[in-house]
Amino acid sequence: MQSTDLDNKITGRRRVVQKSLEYACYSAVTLTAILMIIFFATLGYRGIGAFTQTKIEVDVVEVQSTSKKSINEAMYRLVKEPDRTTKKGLRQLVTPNAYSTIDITEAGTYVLVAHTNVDMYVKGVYDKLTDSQREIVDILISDGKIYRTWNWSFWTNSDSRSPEIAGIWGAMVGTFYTIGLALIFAFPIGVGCATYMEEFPKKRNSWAYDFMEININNLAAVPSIVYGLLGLAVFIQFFGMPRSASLVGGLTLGILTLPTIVIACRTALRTVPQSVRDASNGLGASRLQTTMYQVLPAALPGIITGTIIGIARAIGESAPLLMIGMVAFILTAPTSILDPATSLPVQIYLWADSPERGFAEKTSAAILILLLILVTLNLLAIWLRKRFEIKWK
Amino acid sequence: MEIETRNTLTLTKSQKIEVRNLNIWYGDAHAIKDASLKIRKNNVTALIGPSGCGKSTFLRALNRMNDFIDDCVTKGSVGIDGTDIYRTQYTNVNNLRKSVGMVFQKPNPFPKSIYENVAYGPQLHRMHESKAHLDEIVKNSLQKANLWDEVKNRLTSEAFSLSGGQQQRLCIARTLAVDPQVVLLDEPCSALDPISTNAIEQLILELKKSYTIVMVTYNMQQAKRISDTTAYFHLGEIVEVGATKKIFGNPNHRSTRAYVSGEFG
Repeated sequence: MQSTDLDNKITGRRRVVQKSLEYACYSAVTLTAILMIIFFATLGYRGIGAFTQTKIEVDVVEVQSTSKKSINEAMYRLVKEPDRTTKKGLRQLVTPNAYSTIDITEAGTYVLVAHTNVDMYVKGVYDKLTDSQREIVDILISDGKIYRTWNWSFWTNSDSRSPEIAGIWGAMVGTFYTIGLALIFAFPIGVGCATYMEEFPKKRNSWAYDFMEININNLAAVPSIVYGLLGLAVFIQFFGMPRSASLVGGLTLGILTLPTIVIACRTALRTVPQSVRDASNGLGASRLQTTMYQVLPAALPGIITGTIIGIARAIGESAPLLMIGMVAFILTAPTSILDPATSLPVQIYLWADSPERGFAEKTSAAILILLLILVTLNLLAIWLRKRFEIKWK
Repeated sequence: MEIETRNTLTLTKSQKIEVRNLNIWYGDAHAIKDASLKIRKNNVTALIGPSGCGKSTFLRALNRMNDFIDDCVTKGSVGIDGTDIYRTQYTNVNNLRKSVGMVFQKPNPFPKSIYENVAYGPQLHRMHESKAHLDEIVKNSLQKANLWDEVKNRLTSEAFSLSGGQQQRLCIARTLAVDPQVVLLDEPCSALDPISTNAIEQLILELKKSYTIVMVTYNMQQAKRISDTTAYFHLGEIVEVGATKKIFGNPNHRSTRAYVSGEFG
């Protein structure tokens, strides 16, 4: 009976093979998921501290000649008749840069950023405080004079030698300039190149066309540091552009993104059916008109999606920026594309390299932010594709 | 003048297109062999024949759509109103395609609104003086294509939202919008159901009053129903040309007889 044969379950060797393959795939997926969860959990656990900041409330009774002296005097008041060592310990409870950010002109209560050692003690990461310091800190905590708040300065400050006041703003601005320039540079050239290759070649099987095609496909696989060397040799050495500037970084990342954009754009142009070109040409449109009015608009969702993915790759790129000197230590955010700048991944690299423990949580937090940006960009690309993709009939 | 003398001849007066010794190669493949054909004004000329016989290639040669195919070589002459579109100074191919419009096998509207589909051609050639004028051109073209009543309330909706038959009529309206003299139809009904096919056939019969129509069809009954002249193609050659009644009733050639009676094809 044929029908009952079909109804029978798969048995024997076939079943074993099929099941074991199924389980192999299943465990691969599970393993990936577990690794991802561990990765994000570790980053989150390590980095979450950077989003809060320990602050100290200081009562200034008498204003001294400088803010630094006022703060120091206010700190000394916490202990009755402190000796030299205790005084030193008290001074070191607040960040060494406190006086440069707060201008003390009258008596009152001031909220200061705590020293990284206090910060780490409060967050329970490590304890490097002296006994007298620890005693005072514990009292201040129970008095509510030392507390943790949302760390706005992490978003608005630039890099610093002191981890407690270091922030990502400078790196964010650098990333913004660099990627903006890369986009302005690579998008028109990439789209132009792809459009020429797909729509206008005189002969598709000429050696020049093949040469271009091979080049573009291979350039997409070139290690990114090679682009850094290219940027160093061409833009800095040959054209004499300033070192460490986002201008050079933008051009270098632009070249890096170019093949990705060209390939994505060509794929998008190929999905536009020939019938659209026929229809437009049949109405008497020139090749250029057909391309500008019909083919490119129809391919635009694909082009933009591909560009976003290319740009997302460039945002995460650090190696080429190291080559062109964008590892600068940036205390203030760059104000023009010619200023020395750094970018988010390079900032992560710099912080990861710092010996101070306080930078460890900053590193994890910056990685989280970078990942958030990349995930957002990829989601945007997916959304654009779903929303504007043309379903050809 | 030359044009006047030509007009005095009754034969050339009614003659819109004259193809003489047309040869087309795709690389090494000889697709059209020495084809000659006269196409009369305000007539429906049907090109029939088994698949791969070069009907479509021949049709595309009439408005130089074959130029877009890389390895296509065309020799011979195609005269439209006495001007050879291949050999003379008639170099403005875009204007040629404006006056010799083409409708394709599969409905191929642009991924835009119904209005934009029809307005695209006039906008390309700057045929309109104002927005109101453009609206009028769009309306007239849709009316000529018997589509106006069905779409007048949703001109801004997507062209893809129309049915297959409506899409094909939209494509015809789009072609008519640039005010052509000749309309080439490449198997316009092959992707449509019988009701839509009937609508298009009726439309073609109306259009022939103002346009010269050349159509390729795989459907012999259709050729019989709507064409005035029929040309039978076989292996790249025009085997027989004549009045449709003659071709289907009493063809001269054995191969034509075999084809129209359905022995092969």
